Amino acid sequence: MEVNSSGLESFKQVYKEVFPVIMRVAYHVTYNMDASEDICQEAFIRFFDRGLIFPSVDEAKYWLIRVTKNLSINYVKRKGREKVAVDKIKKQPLPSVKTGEETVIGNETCELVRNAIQQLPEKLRAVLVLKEYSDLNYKEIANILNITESNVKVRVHRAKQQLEKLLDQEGIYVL
Amino acid sequence: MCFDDQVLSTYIDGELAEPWKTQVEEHLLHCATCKSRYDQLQDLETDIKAARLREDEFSVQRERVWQYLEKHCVSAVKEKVIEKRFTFKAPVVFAAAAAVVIIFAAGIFFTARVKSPVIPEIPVISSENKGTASNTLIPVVATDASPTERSMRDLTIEEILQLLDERGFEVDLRLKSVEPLKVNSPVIRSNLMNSVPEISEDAVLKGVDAIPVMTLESADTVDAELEADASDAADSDADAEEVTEEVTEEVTEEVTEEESVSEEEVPAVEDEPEAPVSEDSEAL
Repeated sequence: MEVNSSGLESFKQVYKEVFPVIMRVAYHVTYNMDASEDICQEAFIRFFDRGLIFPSVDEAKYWLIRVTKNLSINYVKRKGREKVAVDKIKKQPLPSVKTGEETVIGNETCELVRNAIQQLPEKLRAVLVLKEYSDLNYKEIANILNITESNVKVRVHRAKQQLEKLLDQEGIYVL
Repeated sequence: MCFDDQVLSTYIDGELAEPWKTQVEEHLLHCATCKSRYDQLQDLETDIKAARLREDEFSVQRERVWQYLEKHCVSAVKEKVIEKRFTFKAPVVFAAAAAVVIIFAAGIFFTARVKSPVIPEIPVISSENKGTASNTLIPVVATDASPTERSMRDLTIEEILQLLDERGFEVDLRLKSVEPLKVNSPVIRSNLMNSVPEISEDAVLKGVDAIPVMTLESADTVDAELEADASDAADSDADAEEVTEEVTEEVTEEVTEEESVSEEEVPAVEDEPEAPVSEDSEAL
């Protein structure tokens, strides 16, 4: 089914199907619910304003994921710079980046994993998030990130390796 | 031969192609080390999956973003659709305006071309052959010196009447004469002969109403003075020679003057009887 991003019906359909996906992408990259909400909103506004024609809902989804991933990475980079600046002024240790949502969840393992993912470098984080939380295969991720499938495979594995180390350091990830 | 983490990870991701996938499955059944590593990676995978943002965690945001989008995008689309129906681009508007102006100007141009001859066709008419005896009943001349048009001199009374009738003028043609006129004009003969009454000398003195007047009554633009030279009736009375509106008015004025003078003189004499007597005595 052809998708017109400015068409009312197709826009509703895409929103219904894709919002959970890009919300997870935005959240697992930024780990900030407010920022994720703004990013998803911005992504859909861009999607709507562009008036793009997609051959399928999946193609529209890939476009939205790509935009959301970039907005989220940009947010993280900007936030990181701000943090560095603030820390230099206050000369204080990095504050906890836990959000209210995470506190509500109350799942310790979940919280640790999210914290660990947050510490991954952006390249690995984006690939891992797309692999684990967007229900995409290597080929789709390669398409979105414009990299090769083998590159996706390697990055996913490296991300998991680093995540494992981080969780080991926390002392929680014990078999 | 044991598999490294990369292969196991790819296998866990479900992305390992054949024949390696089958080989890995068979190897895990026999190799405890690899099975242990596989279990570690699988647990890690499970933990990662468990950290997935759940639907109930973002249901509020999902609704809120949709409300925003519906307000700022969907409703905007509806407005745009309405705007597209009723708005036009500037060139279209200018073209339409130009078309209207051209049509309007063309309409005025052609209307003016059609209607413009009407005015010179109804020129002011004056009497030039006044007093001259001729068989032409009503000699008229167009004072409007329109070179392109025929002068009124060239027109017969019949043509003038037809012309005026065609233009929608209400023509009231009356003859004023003391004596019945010998009319040669076929128009007068055919149209007016039966209605011309015999007029006596007294009719002139009795008033205008009793005297048939030959006039052309029309719109303000046409000031037609028609004079009929009734030469044949000259024997009867000099006052009735000219059957004109002007004459009629003059006669009327003269009559009224005579009446007023006579009325005034009588009381004057009665009020001052002595004055004329003295004058007469002095003269005597």
